[in-house]
Amino acid sequence: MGLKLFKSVRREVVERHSLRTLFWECTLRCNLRCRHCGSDCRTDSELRDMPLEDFLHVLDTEVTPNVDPGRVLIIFSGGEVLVRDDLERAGQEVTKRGYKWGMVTNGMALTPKRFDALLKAGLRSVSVSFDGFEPIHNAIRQNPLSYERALAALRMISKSGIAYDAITCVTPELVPRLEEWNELLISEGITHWRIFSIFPAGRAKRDDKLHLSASDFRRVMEFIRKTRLENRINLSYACEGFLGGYESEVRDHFYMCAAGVNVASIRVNGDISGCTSVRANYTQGNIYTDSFWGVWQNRFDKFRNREWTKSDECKDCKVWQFCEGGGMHLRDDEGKLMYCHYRMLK
Amino acid sequence: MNMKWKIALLTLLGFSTAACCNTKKLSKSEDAKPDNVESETEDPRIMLMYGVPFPDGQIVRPVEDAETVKPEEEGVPFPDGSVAHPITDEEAEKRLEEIKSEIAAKEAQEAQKEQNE
Repeated sequence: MGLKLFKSVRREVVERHSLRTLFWECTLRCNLRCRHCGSDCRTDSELRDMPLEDFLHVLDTEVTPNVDPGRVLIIFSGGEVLVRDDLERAGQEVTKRGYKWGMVTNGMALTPKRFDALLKAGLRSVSVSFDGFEPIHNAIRQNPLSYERALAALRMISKSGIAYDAITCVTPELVPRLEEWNELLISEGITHWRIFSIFPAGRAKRDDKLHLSASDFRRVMEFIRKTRLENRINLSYACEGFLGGYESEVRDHFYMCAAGVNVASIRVNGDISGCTSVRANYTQGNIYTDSFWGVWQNRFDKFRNREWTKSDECKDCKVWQFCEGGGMHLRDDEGKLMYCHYRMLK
Repeated sequence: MNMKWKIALLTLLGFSTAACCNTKKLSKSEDAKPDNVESETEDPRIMLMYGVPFPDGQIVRPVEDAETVKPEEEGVPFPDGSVAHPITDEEAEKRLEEIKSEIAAKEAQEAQKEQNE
């Protein structure tokens, strides 16, 4: 009954398509080279960072006149956002315009001084990637210092009073140790935790060792379900895909891909798309050639009407009415589904 | 059934998606926005893949003229002190091997230390 009700709520949400989250992919440079990176980031990206002024111009001329800024969250994402030395100014500028903003970081370059400067610039929310015990995290992140820097960042953030969570990309090595990992997070005072698993995009596509087997995946779901019942830490599974019987057990909400519905992104080259996890080419326009608001209001058909996903294995699937073909990030350039969470649990 | 009722029903069913929806009607003072500005019902907050949690409540600290703190090194900070440069797949593989060796050596050292104790 809950699923059916939510389905009709979703229909109305899609019809309204109110912009609630705007990603700004402000850089593709990164100080790590993670094995699972969906963006394929490099230390020195071939693409230049987008000038802050360009982003602000879009906000001022296209977004702010059409939304209530207090209801839109702007997320600075990358790459690694902290490699930009004008992040404080960017934060200040969007805060002045009435927006809340947050960032996703690996924590490597988050010194106390920098964090304080970002808080003063209005930082309201942070997510830190934290992928498991030191050897696991460092091997995934391909850097021997990454674990201690991420932990230090989380310790600092958790005491600041802003919204935050640790994001763990669960790999096969971590699955048998999830209980221990949970205890470590709790002992470090971390209160909010989000788990996701690898999906085959970017660098992760080429690294089979990162992918969970069906039994591992079910084990992760069981772990999340149990941990949420214990209620010692606020744990959720990310918005990855429809989870059948685990819907409502492992997240605070039913599955919905909000990309292009409530979520838009402005990529580093100006491309306008749904959320930044969508790496295949579903670009709807470009801020340098199109009106952002015009694109948001009049395009995004593929994101808002997912009937086109009803093909191949989804064609006769009985749960399509609830999952609508899974997340847009799980579709390749040809529209084919690369990974089905529901199938993994069957 | 309108959206408000559906959300209320979902709340009764115990789904916090509904609880985090806000059907607040704008007050007159908040009504100053032009007509085309969307308002009224807030949509369910979906926790995204890489997004950040939606903050609630008031601004934690007032916005100040923040001092820009440059990354510690010129360009991209890198722990071994090297100058930032594009990494090829071969270099990345080599680096991964180095990290694995470092971790193995550290673990062996710790095991040895424990044994000695």
